[in-house]
Amino acid sequence: MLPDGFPAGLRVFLVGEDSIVLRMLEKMLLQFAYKVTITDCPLQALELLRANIDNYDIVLIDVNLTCIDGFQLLEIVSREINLPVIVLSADSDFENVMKGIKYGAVDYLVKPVRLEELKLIWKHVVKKSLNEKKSINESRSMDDNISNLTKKSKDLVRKRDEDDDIALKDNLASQKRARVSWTPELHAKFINAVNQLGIDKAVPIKILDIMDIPGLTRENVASHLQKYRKGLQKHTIELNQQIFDNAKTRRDSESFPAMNIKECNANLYRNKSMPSSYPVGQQSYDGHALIPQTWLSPHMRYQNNFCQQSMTGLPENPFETQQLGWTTESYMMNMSTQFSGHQSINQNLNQLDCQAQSYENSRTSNGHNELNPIPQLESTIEYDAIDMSLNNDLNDNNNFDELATLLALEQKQPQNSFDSGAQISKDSVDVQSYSLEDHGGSNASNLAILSEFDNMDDTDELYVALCQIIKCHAHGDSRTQSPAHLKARKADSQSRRSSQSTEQIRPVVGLVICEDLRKPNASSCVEKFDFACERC
Amino acid sequence: MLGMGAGRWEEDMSRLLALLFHQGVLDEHFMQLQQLQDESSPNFVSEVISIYFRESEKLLRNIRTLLLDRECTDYKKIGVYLNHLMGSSSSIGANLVRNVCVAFRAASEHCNWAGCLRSLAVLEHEYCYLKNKLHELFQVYYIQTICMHSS
Repeated sequence: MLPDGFPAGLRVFLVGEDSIVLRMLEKMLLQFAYKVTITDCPLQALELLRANIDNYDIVLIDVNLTCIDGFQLLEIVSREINLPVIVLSADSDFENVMKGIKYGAVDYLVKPVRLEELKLIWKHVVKKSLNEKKSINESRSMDDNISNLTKKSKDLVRKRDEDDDIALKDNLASQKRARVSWTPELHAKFINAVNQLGIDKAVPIKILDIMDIPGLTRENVASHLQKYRKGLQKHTIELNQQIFDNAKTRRDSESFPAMNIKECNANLYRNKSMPSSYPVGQQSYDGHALIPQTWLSPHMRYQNNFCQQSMTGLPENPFETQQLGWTTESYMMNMSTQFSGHQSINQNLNQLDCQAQSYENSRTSNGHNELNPIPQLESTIEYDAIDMSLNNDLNDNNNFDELATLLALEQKQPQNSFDSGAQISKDSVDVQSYSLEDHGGSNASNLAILSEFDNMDDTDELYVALCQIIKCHAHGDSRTQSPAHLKARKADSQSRRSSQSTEQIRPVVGLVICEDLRKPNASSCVEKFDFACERC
Repeated sequence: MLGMGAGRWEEDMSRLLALLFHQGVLDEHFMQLQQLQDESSPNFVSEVISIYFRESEKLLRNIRTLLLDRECTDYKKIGVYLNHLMGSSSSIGANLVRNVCVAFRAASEHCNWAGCLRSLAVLEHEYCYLKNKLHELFQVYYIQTICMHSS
């Protein structure tokens, strides 16, 4: 199956903007007797790949691009092109590596790329072809096991697997054929059709009929359905279940704090505890809020009681309000870090369908929503995923930005999706919204968030929280939030990332050593490093 | 001078390289770059380095333009330029320049304008130093080549 002399003759497609890197990589690859195609225009790269997918075995993308977002390109390529894609980057930040993997890269190489690492990229080609072989075999053996099931499920499963199997075989056979590009509109129609039929009863033929797109084959739909189902299974269903469970428990309560006390374990801040009289100055800024586990008790005088106070609308005393502000800030920090994790995990779904794209599009086109209302969770989840990327906001001043930010982000979202989201949280208490300016004693929608945190995963909490917020926004609460605020906070939050500090220390040390050695420059240059030292 | 100087120039070059390695200005990737040069591309190293100088100067100019504007808000763009510079510098083995870029990037992520200005000054300084040393290296190398050919 592999050509003679493999891996010599490996056909590599290289995309990037840095001529140095491109030239060096080209030379290295040529030294290994690989065949190289280089393009320094990322937009052109996509066209070239689409047109000549047969001519390449593996794709290398440098994500440090200026004309478009490198990770976006990565996502599109890995989605459309059935080749292993490797990310090339100048940094090894955790978020970026996660992003790369989530968007479908099979590997992440940091510049400068070592010769040995580059040589071994052929392993991904072999791995991919082995995996594809395995999944054909698996679907075949699944057919064999069907006889153990009851008749009804047997029929159902068999039909579904046949479709998938056929689709898979077709896919492999037609690997060289151009793939269907699942655009947001197309995917929206697909989702629509699936919902009409019901997820369990959705079969490619019927979906195809409902979608009514000329040129779309049953095989395309079948393979897309398979991917969609897999994605759903992983994330959506358990989430759905938990949300409904929580929603049920909330139905009877009137006042938020009282209602939530029994349920919540404040998992958002698990493993953290803080005495109730925790002074403001001792709050930590390392991204974790310190609150007691039982902070949601009704009779509490804890600092995190901002929600309760907000409900009553009266801060008990100014000092306490200040403390609340402080706490919430650290709460927001934690929220933010959780959000980013949340977001990256969400990308799994984004990878599978174009919801993310569609939301981006609909946001930029002034809320014009081309999508049909989509099932609750998919919409909220994807929406959350995209928008959480903007939501890593922290503030220097004691403003309760987080929720305001979230709400502001919602504002950009088309109303339709919120309405569809309403179905989930219809049993939950209507949450009052939060305003940016009024951090002292305003109404708290954060209660909604907090209320959902019992026995849920970190990521799920946020999903639910967002659902709640979305819900309350859909009920007509209006927020005002300027984009400038958002940007400023975004920039600010990025600055809070603790990962930068270690990077700073190393270069400072290195520089000082070098300066000592280079005597003529020593005195003048050492002082220049004081800024870095300040930060360290 | 030409006939018997070849050995001496080689010595000079080795000494210069050793100094640069010792100072951390260059690292092993520079050696890797040199190893990429072969018969099919005899001027590979000098070509790559020339491209590097050209691109880096462009980047530094752009960064300087962005920073000189007191109302500088586009730290993200600076970060992008810095990533580019980091990538190229590390690929050719310009270790010190890369490290300064890392510190600079940190300052830009904190939107610290003063810090960025200082980092830029350091960066330009280190870049000039690197450029001078590499020019020196090439001069010695070319003379050495001439000596070798003439002897």
